[in-house]
Amino acid sequence: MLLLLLIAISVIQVSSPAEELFLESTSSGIPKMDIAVVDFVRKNLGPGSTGAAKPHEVIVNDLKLSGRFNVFPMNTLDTVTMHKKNIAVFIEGTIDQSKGNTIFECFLHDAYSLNLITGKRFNVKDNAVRKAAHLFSDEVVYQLFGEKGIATTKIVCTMRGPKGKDVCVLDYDGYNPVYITRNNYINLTPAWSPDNQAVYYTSYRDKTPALYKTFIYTGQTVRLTPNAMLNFSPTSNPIDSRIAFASTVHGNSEIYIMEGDGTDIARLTFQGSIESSPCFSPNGYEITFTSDRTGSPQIYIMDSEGTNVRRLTFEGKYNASPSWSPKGDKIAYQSMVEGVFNICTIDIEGGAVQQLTTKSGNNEHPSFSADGRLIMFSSTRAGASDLYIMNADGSNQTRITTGGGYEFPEWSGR
Amino acid sequence: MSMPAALLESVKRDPFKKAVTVSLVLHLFVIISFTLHDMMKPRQVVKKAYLFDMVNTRPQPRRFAAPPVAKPREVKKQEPAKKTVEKPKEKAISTKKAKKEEKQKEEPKEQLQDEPKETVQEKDAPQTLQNEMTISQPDFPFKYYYQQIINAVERNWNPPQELLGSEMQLAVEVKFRLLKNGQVTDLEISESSWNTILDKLALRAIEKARIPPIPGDESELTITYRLVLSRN
Repeated sequence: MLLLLLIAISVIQVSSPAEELFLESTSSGIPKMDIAVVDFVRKNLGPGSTGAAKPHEVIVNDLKLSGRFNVFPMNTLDTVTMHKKNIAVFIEGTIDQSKGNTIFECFLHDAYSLNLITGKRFNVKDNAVRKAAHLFSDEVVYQLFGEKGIATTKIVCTMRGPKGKDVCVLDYDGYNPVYITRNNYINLTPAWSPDNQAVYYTSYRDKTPALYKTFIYTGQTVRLTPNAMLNFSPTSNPIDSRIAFASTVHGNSEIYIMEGDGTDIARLTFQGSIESSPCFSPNGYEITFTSDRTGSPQIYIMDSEGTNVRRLTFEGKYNASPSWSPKGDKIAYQSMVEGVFNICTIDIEGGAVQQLTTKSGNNEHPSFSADGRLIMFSSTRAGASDLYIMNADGSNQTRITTGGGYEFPEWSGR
Repeated sequence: MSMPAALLESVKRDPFKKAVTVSLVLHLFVIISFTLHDMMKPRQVVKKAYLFDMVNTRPQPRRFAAPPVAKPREVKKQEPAKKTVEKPKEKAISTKKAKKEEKQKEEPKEQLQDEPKETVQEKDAPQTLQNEMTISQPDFPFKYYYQQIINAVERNWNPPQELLGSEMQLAVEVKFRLLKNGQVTDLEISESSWNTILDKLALRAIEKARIPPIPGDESELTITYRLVLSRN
C-alpha cells in the first residue's frame, strides 16, 4: 500500500506540466570587414635616416587586434587582387624620414571607386611613429564603424623587478613600457583613475602595504591609506572617482570605499568572511566583488553603498577577480577548472557562463577594453606569466608581451 | 511474499485497517485518474506566450502588410529616372555582388531598359521580398558604406517569428536622414506593417544602429530602409 502511494506521488510530481521557454538570439555580432594595407611607399631616404620606422606594420597589427577586420597586407597596390578577394577598403601611404624626424601620410580608400575616405599627415619624432600610427588606426575604426578605436589606450600592470615587483604602463600592444615605480619593494594590484591620468596601487614602500596614487605624467605620488594593515585591489568609480578597495583594518578582508584623495573611508561589507577584488559597474551604481561567505570564493554584486548583495556565480568552486564590461552586460572573471584558472564571462543576470580560455596554464585577471570587444589577461600557458589579448568571445588569443613577469593587467579607458 | 500476505491477514481482521485501506485505494484511484487525465490532455505549445496579436491596436486587417503591397511600389519606381538607375545598385550590394555594381555603373543606359524586366520577375515571385536600403543620392560613390549601414542596422534586426501570426511576410519601411557624423534624425515610418510592435522594433533597430560617419563630400543622406520579417 505504501509502495503504491509512493508510486502515485512520484507520478504526480513527474507529470506536472513544465512550462518551456525558449529565448534565442541569432545575431552574431558585427561581421568582420575585409581591409587591405599596402606597404607605405618610402620616398626621399635622406641623410641620417634609419629607415626603420614601418607605420604600416603597426597599423596592420592594430587592425588585427581590434577584432573588427580581416587584414590583408600587400606589398604593392594591386586593385585586381583586391577585387578578386572582394576587399572593400584599403590603406596606403607614404613615408619620409630624415634627421630623427618622420613624416608620413596615410590614406583610407574605397576599393571600388578608389575615392578617398580619410587621410592624415603626421610629422613626428622617430620615437613617436608608433603612437601616430595608433592614432590613424583609431581614425580608421571611427570612419568605418562609427566608434572610437582602442589603439591609443594603455595597460597598467606589474612587472617582476630585480627584488620586488614594479608597476609599469605599456601601450595596449605591449610596446613602450614606462615604469611608474622603481623601488625594490613589492607593488601590486594597479588600477587606473577614471581620467587615465593616475594609477592606484598597493605598495610596501613604507614597510606596510598601503594604497598609493601616482600621477603617470608628473610622477607625483600620494599615500591614500594611513593605517598599517593590508590595503589592496583598488578600483575607481568611473562616475565620481571614488575608490573601492579591500582592507584588513577590522581583522579579515572587507570592502571599503573612500574619496579619490583618501578621505571619508566607509566600510561596505560586514561579513566574517573574506571579501576582495571590487570592481565598479560602468554606471558607478554597483560593485562586483569576490567573497567566500558560502565556503568557496564566488562572485557577488552589491550596490555601491553596500546594500542589496546577491550572488552571481554558482558554477565552479573558485571564482575570483571579476571585471565589469564597459557596456555593462557581462562580467569576466577567473574560474578554477581542473586545477588551473581560466577566464570566463557571465551575463549580469547570472546566466550564460562562457569559458573563454582552455589552454593549459593559469589564465588570470581579465580586464575589458574600453569598447568592450576585447579582454586582456595574464597567462602562464607559455611558462612565465605574460599578457594576452583576445576577443570578448574567446577567439583570436594573441600574446602581446614576451619575457615573463607581467601580472595584474588593467586596461585604461579611452 | 510472506510480508504482504501477513499484512492482508491483519487488514482482514481489523475493521479500522480495512476502512483505511478502502479509503487509500479510493484516494489513489482519484489521484491517478486525475494525473492520467492531465497527461492525456494535448499540451499547449509555448508559442502562446509570444502571440502578440491582442496588442495590435490597429483595426485594419493584415492583408495590406503582406507582399502584395510591394507590387504597386515597384510600378511607382519606374516613373522617376533617378530612382530606377540607383535601385539595382543597392540590390547588388545587399547580395554582395561587387563586380556587378561596377558594370552597372559603367553602363547606366542599359539598366534603364533592363529595369522593367526585373520587376516582372519579382511579380512572379512576390514572396522573395528582402531587406532593402535605398540612398537618395544616386551617385554616392562609396560602396563599402552601404554594407556598413546594412551591418549596423541588421545587427539589431531580429524580431520574433511569432509576430507574423498567419502571414508569410511582414514588411515595414522606414525613412531617415543621416547626418555627416552618422547620427540618425527625422526617423519615421514611411510604410507601416500594420503591426505596431514590428514597427517599433524597426524604429529601434535604426535608432540603436551605430552608423559610421559619411565619407566624402556628402554632408547628409536620406535613406529609405525596408525591413522584412519572413517565415523561416
